[in-house]
Amino acid sequence: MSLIRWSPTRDLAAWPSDIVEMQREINKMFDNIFRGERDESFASSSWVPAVDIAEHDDEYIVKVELPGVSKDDVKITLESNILTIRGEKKQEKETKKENLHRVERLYGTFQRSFTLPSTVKSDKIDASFRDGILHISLPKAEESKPKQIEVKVK
Amino acid sequence: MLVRFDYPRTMNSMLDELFATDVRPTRSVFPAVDITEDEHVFQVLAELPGVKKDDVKVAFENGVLTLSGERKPYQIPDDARILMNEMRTRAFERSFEFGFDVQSDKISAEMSNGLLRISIPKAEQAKARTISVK
Repeated sequence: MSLIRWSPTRDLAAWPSDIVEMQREINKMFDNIFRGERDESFASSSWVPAVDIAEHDDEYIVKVELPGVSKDDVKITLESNILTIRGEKKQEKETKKENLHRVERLYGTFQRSFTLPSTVKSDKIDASFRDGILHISLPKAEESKPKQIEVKVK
Repeated sequence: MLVRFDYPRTMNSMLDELFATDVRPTRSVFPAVDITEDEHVFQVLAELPGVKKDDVKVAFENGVLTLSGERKPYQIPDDARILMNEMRTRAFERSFEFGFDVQSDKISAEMSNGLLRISIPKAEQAKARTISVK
């Protein structure tokens, strides 16, 4: 018999949103209790966007799901191979509580960091928004590209 | 395989899962929807990142608004190596009932920046009025 470690955050998508909301509240509660021990950056995130990362021959492509986030509210930094994306999803306008019928979108600050497997040309990083997805292209530095060497057989 | 129960370690690994070392994206219903109203219209905002407008259908029938469609996978070159894949591609359908009179022929919808914005104007008789007392 094998034991499977309990993972409270697994498969949340399949849960009704009330439970997801409850989970979020519990996380927030723990968040407050353990704040002193946790790294500052994570504590300041109120939600976590989904990310895809692909490695191509000559670049890394990072995609971040940020629907409705303005490009002015996103900051991308690279520091010794650690890529950090942070920002804020803002509510478009203040709406009186009695005029809100449903609020499922998550608002507030977010931050994610990734260690890239190899060095990139930091001055050639390019980022743009398409359909609510932030695309970041990070060209690899020359020394980290795969090299093909032809060896002649005599 | 059985592992001996080790309370402090189990507790730590549970905390690890909840917190920093293993960050997971916040999951919610898809698409997440906000519905607000003002004096004249209901506004529906649905988060549909990576969805093309041709892949979304908006219908309004008998006071029920239905959003349906599909989030399709994007193209990745064959030589690319996936290092992280958290975005989900899927078909979706959600319905919302409006218990007010609305002008269903004046409903408009537009997509921008991954947000679908639907405006549903209220019918004249559904708007708040003050009635003068004679």
